[in-house]
Amino acid sequence: MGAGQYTSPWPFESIAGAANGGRVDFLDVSSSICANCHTTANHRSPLFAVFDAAGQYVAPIDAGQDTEFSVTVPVDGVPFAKLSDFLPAGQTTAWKFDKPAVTLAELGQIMADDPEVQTCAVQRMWNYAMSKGDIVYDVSDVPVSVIDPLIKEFQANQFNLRATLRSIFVHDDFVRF
Amino acid sequence: MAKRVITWALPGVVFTVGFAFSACISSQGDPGDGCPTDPGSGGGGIGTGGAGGEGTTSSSASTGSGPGPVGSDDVGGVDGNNFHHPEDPASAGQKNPFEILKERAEEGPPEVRTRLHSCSRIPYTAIGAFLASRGVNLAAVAPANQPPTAGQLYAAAGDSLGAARYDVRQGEASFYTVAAATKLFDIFVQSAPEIIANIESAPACQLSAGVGKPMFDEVTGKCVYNSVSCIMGRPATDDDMELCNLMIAQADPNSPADLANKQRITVAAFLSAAHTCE
Repeated sequence: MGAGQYTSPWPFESIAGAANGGRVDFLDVSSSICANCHTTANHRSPLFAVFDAAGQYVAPIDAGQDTEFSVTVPVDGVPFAKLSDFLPAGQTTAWKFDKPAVTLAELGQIMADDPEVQTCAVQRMWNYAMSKGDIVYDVSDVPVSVIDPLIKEFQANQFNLRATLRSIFVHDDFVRF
Repeated sequence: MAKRVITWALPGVVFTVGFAFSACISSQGDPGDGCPTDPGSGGGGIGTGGAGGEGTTSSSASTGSGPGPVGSDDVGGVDGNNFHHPEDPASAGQKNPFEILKERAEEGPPEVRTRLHSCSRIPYTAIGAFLASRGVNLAAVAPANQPPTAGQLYAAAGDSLGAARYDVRQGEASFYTVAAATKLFDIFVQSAPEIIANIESAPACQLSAGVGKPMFDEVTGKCVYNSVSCIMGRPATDDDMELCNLMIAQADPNSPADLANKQRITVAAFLSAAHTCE
């Protein structure tokens, strides 16, 4: 399997590839394990594929696995993407493995209920207060051990982000510099 | 709550569509140019990245990963059915993520570096609010054939200072470019006379209502601690005060015009140093 290992929690063939009808080979393992990321990405993507390059909603042409979206596939002819380009038959959209979400509304709710999303909200507010860069692009990771009391406060205060932000600004680490 | 979180998280998630078709390169390409080749080498742990964490490398590579020209370097694979993720993770000029990771490692363990302040650019609107609070009239217009006021410079400097451009979906810049810092210095130089004239009556610099301090002591001519602190946004140190007074002391004692210039340059220098992390 190329130079890497498959580490995703999803079944390897839960996404489309050349072997199961997809026009982009997400199951390629010749150099990197694309599926490590794309098993998760492809289960989310169809929910957003209904928005075109300008962010405008474009209703898909519903035809099961051949459901066609307004986004295109970067292969010869640049055709419009189909559901089968993302997922093989039998797979449904999801936020994560074992967290199915059929609609964007469901996705939003399941994200809101996800402790990791709640944690990330506090991590990003912490980085904002500390003038750090983006938690992803700038690798400005924030260990949970540092901000755990703030995460618990965020969850306990009905997700009042303003209150949590205040707590960050009066936090010992913020004040003592 | 759901609406708040989805509003915050959506930009990261929506990119997944853009890169969903961006499969890694095949054996024909450079193996170092795509998804992580080993666990943890760029996948972005779920625990650290939260919503945007899973598939960090992929989401990072989403910029510009639309349908590239078929047959170009963007497309690889035996059957032309793969896509090269750009090495550039976020935007033009962005460093390689592994270079960034190396820098972070040099800053110390996450549990330590996370607790330390970094220094990013002041948002455009915050610069305006700061200047106004220190006595600058942002609405002032210069007479004909005179240099623009600080307010005019500020109003025209949105793009160069890196203000958000929502129409083109461009967020506020996080850090200064050389051009942005230069423009900010210009604004501070033009702001200095107004700040010197008005800081005593600026509520933000008054410890008690209606009672302020001048920028320079009327008797000794020296820098006033409260005012230096106020323009820097933090308590002035002994070194700050010594440097401030040293700069003023360079003025020609027989030239009020030279003293006024030195005062302006001093205030502008302290503003620039304090608000650009120098």
